[in-house]
Amino acid sequence: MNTLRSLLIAILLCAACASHHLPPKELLQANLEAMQEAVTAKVPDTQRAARLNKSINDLGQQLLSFRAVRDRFQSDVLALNARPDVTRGELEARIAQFDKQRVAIRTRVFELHSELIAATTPEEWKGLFPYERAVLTEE
Amino acid sequence: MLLALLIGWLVLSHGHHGGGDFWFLGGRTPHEMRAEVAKVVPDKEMQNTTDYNLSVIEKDYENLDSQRSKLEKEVLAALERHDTPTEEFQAIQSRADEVNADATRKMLDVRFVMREQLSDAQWRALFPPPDAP
Repeated sequence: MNTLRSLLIAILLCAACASHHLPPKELLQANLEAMQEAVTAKVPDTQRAARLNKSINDLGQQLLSFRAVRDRFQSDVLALNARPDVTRGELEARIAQFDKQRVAIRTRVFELHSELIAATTPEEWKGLFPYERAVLTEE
Repeated sequence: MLLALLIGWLVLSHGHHGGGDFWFLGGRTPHEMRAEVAKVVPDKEMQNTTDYNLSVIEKDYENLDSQRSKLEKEVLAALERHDTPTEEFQAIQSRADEVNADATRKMLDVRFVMREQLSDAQWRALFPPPDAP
């Protein structure tokens, strides 16, 4: 029995380690799927579960959009910075453009968080929050 | 990703880079940058000036990092609670925007001071354009 338990723990640990070694996009997808599976397990009301899954899908879309915005921005800033003649105004304008896109996505992410809260009880949220945290913080 | 969404460009990570580097310095650490400066800038006095500016960047970044940690703790605690009012999230976002504006201004100040002190050729050698995708 003890051996079986140890084996199970080892398998779970390996699975957790493996998920942290996924490429960023796959890791995000895995975390979103884990959150949706947690919804199925923790929220018995199917209507609320459907609302939650829709919000989780939208959250994934927003984070993917942000990733694309970020990649373009970083490449543009490195290219601008490489130019000895770039003006402060040019760099500030590109940063301002990024900030505008970032804040729009941030606003939507917080709205989606509010939707998740509205569709859960405090007890259900306690079980779901670790998954939201992983979605939002793991690269 | 949450913190980059919250605070902005200076705390972005760079897909393939680990921690400790500065993506806007081409993904190099200040230590690596100093080694580059020593190769590219022959004049000792100018090397020291550039090293000093890199120290300013490092210090500003350390300060940003401590504010980043504080905001991270606050926003995660607010997200965890089921009864967090919208105003609390708005207050965190406003503070993050102030941190971003202040850090951006300081970082650009140092960038343009450094730029004035180096020749075009030295600048190009230290900050090559990114590889084409």
